[in-house]
Amino acid sequence: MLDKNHQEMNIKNNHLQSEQIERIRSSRQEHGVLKVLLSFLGSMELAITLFVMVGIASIIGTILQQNQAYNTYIIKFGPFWFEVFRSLELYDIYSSWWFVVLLGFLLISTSACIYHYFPVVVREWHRFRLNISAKSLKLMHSSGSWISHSGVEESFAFVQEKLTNGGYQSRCKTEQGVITIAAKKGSINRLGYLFTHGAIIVICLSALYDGNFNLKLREVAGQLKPETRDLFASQVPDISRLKAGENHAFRGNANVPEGSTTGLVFLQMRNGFLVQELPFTITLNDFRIEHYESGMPKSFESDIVIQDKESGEKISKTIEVNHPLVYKDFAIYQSSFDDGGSIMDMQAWSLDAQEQKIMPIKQVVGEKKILPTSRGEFKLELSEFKLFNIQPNPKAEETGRKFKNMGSTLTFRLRDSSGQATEFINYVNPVEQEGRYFFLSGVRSSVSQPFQYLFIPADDQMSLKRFFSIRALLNNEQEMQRIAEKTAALSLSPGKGNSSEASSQVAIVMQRLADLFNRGGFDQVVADIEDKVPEDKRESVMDSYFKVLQTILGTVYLEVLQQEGVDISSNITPAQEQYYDDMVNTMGVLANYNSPVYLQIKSFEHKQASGFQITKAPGKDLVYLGCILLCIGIVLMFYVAHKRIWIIIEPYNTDEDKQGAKLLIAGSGDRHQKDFAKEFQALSQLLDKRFS
Amino acid sequence: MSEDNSATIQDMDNLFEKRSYWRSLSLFDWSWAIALLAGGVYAWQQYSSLMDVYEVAILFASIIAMVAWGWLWKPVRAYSIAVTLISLFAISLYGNDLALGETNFFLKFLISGKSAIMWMSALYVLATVTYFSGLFSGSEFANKTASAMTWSATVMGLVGLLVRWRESYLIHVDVGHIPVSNLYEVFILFSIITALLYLYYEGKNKTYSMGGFVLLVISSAVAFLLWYGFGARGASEIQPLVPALQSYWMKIHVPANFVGYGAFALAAMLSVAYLIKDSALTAVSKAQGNSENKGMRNIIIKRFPELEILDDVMYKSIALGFSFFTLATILGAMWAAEAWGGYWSWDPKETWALIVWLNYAAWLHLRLTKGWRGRPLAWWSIIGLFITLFAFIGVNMFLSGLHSYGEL
Repeated sequence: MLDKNHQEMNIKNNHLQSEQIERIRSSRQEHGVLKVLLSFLGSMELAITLFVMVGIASIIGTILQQNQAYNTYIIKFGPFWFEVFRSLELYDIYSSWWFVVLLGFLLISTSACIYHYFPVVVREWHRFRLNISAKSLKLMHSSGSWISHSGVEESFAFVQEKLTNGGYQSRCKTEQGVITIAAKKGSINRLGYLFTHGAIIVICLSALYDGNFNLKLREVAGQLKPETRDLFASQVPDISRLKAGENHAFRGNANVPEGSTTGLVFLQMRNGFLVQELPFTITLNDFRIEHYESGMPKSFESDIVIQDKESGEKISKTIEVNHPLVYKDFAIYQSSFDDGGSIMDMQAWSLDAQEQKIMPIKQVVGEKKILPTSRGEFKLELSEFKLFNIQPNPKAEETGRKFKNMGSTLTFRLRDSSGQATEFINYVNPVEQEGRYFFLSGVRSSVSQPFQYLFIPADDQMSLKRFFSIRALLNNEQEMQRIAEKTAALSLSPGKGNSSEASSQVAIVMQRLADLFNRGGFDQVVADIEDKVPEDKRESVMDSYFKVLQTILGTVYLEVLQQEGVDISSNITPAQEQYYDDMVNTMGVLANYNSPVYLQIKSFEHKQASGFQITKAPGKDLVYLGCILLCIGIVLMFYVAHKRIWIIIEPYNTDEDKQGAKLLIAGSGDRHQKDFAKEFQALSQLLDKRFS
Repeated sequence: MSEDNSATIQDMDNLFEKRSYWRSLSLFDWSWAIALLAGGVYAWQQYSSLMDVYEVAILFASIIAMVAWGWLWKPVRAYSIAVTLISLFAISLYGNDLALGETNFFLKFLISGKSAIMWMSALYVLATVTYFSGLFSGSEFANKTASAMTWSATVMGLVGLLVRWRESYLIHVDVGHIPVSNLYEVFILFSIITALLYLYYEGKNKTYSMGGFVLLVISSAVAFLLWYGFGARGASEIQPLVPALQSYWMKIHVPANFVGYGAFALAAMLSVAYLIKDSALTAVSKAQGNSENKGMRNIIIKRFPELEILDDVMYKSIALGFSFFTLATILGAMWAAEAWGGYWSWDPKETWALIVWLNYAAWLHLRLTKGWRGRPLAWWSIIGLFITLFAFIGVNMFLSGLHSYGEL
């Protein structure tokens, strides 16, 4: 029930307000269409509708990832819907025409609202509404009357004092012995309305000014065209370039390698970009990344020097995330980092060669080069070089270190003539595993898969030479024939009456097995047996085959050791035995490596690039001013109550008391009716005490 | 009720009597201010080498805010003293050895960062149950117990955060940071703030019947933070800060945001209560003597607060939330201007903040200008909570962007 009253009361208040607005509006002599239009634009219905529409558009913009490459969208939506969405500018919704128009309407609506309300605020600011009747006072939410014995003047002085104490300003008039006091406080609450709505206008206009609206206009006028090709900055035609003073606001990116200088930034525009010239150059002297123990980046810092193109003035500063450099109207931010063209000194070990030979390669990260191999021409694309790879330490408990640096890695792709690419990640230094060292190389045929790792054992010299010597030997048919014959002859000791015919039979089997193994590992050997041997005999055949295979592989290994000049006349060491096991394991899976070569990184020159974001936002300070206005406005609106109290004091003469007075007091708290009721109660209590 | 009224009138008396506000402050009020100031100066002297000028400003601004808060809402003083003493005790137990957290009895079972949060979680859940039992049984004792539990949980929550803050510095001075950097930590903050807001209105309106509803949303937050912090995610481990978060802005942007979220959550839960009571009232006036469900309805009608109070607190809560949310968004924009190179990038989190802001702006317009009250606004504020929730967690779950700290 109370709630209903509340509502009625409010409707009344509201009615009062709109009446006032109506009066003021008509005093301005607005007519016909303009009047209808203005009241439509300033209406709450329109404002709420616009809120909802801006909200929905914003939601679409967050669900549909913005400013991706157009190819991504085509794959996602298919050509038909891609075109539909493109024409609706859904890929860059927040600078689309219709979104800007929507914001424009919100601005107009807010302005119209202020236009209606401003005169009311001004008028109310000074108005005390002294001409109020006793009748309307009695109708108010809080009202009461008191009889005083102390006369009109004295009662007036008393209430006047209390009102002043309570922070009320008051005006009074005397008419035929009746004093009317009109008091109010918190009028400043009305300013809250102006401040908040004014703030929205200030913020929106300044933000629009900082946006790329003007570029879009120039694009429509045919003066600008975003470049969509993958070009160097110097090759970009003039229609996609902006001179230093040409653009009042922008937000662009520049990637500067260490030791290089740039005077340009790229502004992204839908699926293309514009080149924006700067009035200064930026030189990157040094870029540093610090890491936490866990390998998480702790800080990015760039030592930069900027030089004014006109005055030649130079400024050196170190910038980092959260600490940009502000130069004139420009701000330079540390935003990302990249490889700045590290030089990789590599050598390729062939997996197919019959004689071990090394091909030296020197290539810069980011470059694509043709790589001739035994399996045709490949394109070698070096994509990423990482100086550190921090991973959880498997020996955390022994060493007390939770993380371990696995060293540098190079990620690259090998693309064959049909365009199929395989991705690799190679560790620069051998990685320790249970006391042994391995060259690690990860391989995968699509980005969605995890890397599968190849562990190539490092030899005594910490090199790959022994492994690839063995590989070359296994690839060499003639040599293998020689070794097979030698081994066969040795294993079938002639003393037992074995003929040379049997020996050559064994040699043939040996060589065939070694060849099978070389091409497909143990799996291939097993497959061969399953293919040719009946099921019941398989186990015994398998046993003897593996013995034979081990024998020949062992001989190959010893042969290579001998070539290296290792003394094998006494027993081989456990380490050499271990190497053999590791080598056989890896050799067996080499067929899955899907590459004609193994790329070893011999040395590198690490060079980084720092990604800067350079902005010019002349509207920023205005936006902040708007924000301050907004905050003040909100506080005024919610936390300063606009309250009015009226008091009518009239002489009240009873028979025994000729000097009495009657006080009629009422008030309203506008939007803070409940708080005001309490305040009125407090005042009543004082009056009760005084006049009872 | 009558006690409360006379008390407020006594306060209001001051309004029309000539007495300065300063004189109305008690000795305790002044000691409170002096103690806080002394603490602030001590912290400044001890740690000024670790703070930049903004952080010093934040330190003293928060001291002033705390003084004002304690004067405005007296129970907060006892609360702060309890939190301070327990936290200092925990910190002194730690000394410089983080490993003591696993061996020292008090730390391990009561007041290490993690244990305190465990206690907080348990107490909030217990308080929820107790509030509801108080609501249905009408037992004053149950209500008071629930309220005490909520206070204790809120003490433990803040102790947990403060001790965690210290623990992060014990790991390494470079790792040290204010614990508002991932979803686990901000969920604790959310629980505490929502609880404090509720406790304020509980004290002011002298009604316990809303406790269960508000604590329900806190218990859900607790369930989430236990799953997120101690389950598969292990987010309760202290992680160092990524470079973008290493800024004094985090100290003001995040808490301001969570006052907003907390207030919106409170408003939504009060709306639920409003709708239940309103439905009960409608049903009774329609049924007239029909005895179906009568007992339940009577309980609701008798024990739930007046619709008017619910409506009023709902409005005040949204107004408070809106104020803080606006401030937080502005602070966020200023931070973005310093870290990302632009005050507005239409990043999903920013955009959703705008959506939340528009939503409550519309709500307030309808209430203040159109004079809407009651049911429609109650429904709206419940929907508002879901929008807020999406901005708060959903964005991290489903959308990617610059703001992807605390991923799910």
